[in-house]
Amino acid sequence: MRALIISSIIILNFLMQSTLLQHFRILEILPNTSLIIVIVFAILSGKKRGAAIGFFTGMVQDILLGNMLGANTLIYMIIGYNIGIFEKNIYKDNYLTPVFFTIIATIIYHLMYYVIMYMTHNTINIFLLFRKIIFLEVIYNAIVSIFVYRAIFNISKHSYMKVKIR
Amino acid sequence: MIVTFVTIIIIIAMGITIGGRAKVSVPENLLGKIITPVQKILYKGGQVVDDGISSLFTFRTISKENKTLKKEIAALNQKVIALSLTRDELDELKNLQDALKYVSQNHKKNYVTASVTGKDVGNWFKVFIIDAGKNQGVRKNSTIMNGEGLIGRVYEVGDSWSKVISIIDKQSSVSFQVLRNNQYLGVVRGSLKGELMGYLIEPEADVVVGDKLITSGLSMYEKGILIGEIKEVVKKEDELLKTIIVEPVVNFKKIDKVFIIIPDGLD
Repeated sequence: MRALIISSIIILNFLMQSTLLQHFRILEILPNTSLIIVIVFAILSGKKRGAAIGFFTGMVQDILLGNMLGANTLIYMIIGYNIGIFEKNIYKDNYLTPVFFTIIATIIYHLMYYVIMYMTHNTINIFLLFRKIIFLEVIYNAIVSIFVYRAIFNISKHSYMKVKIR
Repeated sequence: MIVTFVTIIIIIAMGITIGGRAKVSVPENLLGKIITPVQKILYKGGQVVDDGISSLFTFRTISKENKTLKKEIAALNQKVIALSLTRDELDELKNLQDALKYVSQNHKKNYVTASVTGKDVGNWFKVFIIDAGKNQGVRKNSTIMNGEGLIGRVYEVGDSWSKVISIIDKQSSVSFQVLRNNQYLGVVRGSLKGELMGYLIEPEADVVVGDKLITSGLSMYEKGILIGEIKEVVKKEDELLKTIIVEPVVNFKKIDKVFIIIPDGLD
């Protein structure tokens, strides 16, 4: 039941992000809701599940829109795992928790992507990257993460999700 | 422990799949087959709502545009007459060519139409999905265009869907020639800013702002498709090449229907 709900959230998110959410691009920047969902699940359910959810979210994105199989998969999995480590030591009913982790994870996502792209001969100017993409996306993601966190937090209160909330 | 193991497998997979494949694997194909029809509906719905809302706010510009377009039609009609005369002349010359048994390199091309079902979710690349694949005859590196001009090329092919890299993507580079003078060749690339940056091979070429560029047929793209107009010409003292900034003719925010050109006898 839980796996079914989580996987349908992942698929639904991908469908929305690639179609309807495209109309909400501000200055060509789209909020990365896949990354936010991985972060939120990692915060709520720990490192193992965080890594698994990161893996599948990245996989769907890589298969349908990636330019190689595995770039997003790897980054989402590592982010999900590492944020999940903090699961037992953070306050979960505070909305600043997802905002804080989203800001850090967005920057790490782009830096890791930069490294992978650098190794595959797709170099770009890193200052331009910070100015044009990262700066705006951090703000956008942080705002969106509050709403996503609230929605998933409410879903995970139900007994079938089996998430411990302190 | 498991994470390390999976990481190594992913890195190997990245190495294998880099550069796009001519045919995707079975599970990927299945996922694409399930997701693209749903995406298509959502994408169409989004476009319809967006068009409806934006036309409410822009009715003044639309009526202005209408007037300029009418003027343009009048000018174009005159051109059509002039061109049809030249075409008759060309037909005669072609007949002459046949009579002289001159070898012509006339490839027959097939066109397939498809619609866009979804766009890239990240901010790095400009990739999108279309709802035509191997079953429709699409092959890797086929050229994608629409009524306005060049859009991109096919990157990976599934059974009934494929991935397309647009020309404004950083990974793409197109060889062009200037429409006004086909001696001037060059290359344009996409950039992070969503516009095309390029350079002319000949530094002395006198290109001006407003010159139209078409594909030269030297890269993977078919010959003679409109790419865009030159927006800015930059000549640096210490560089031999002349750099240009090009505005693409296609509005990449609103692409919906596309053509895929499949060349005959090419594998």
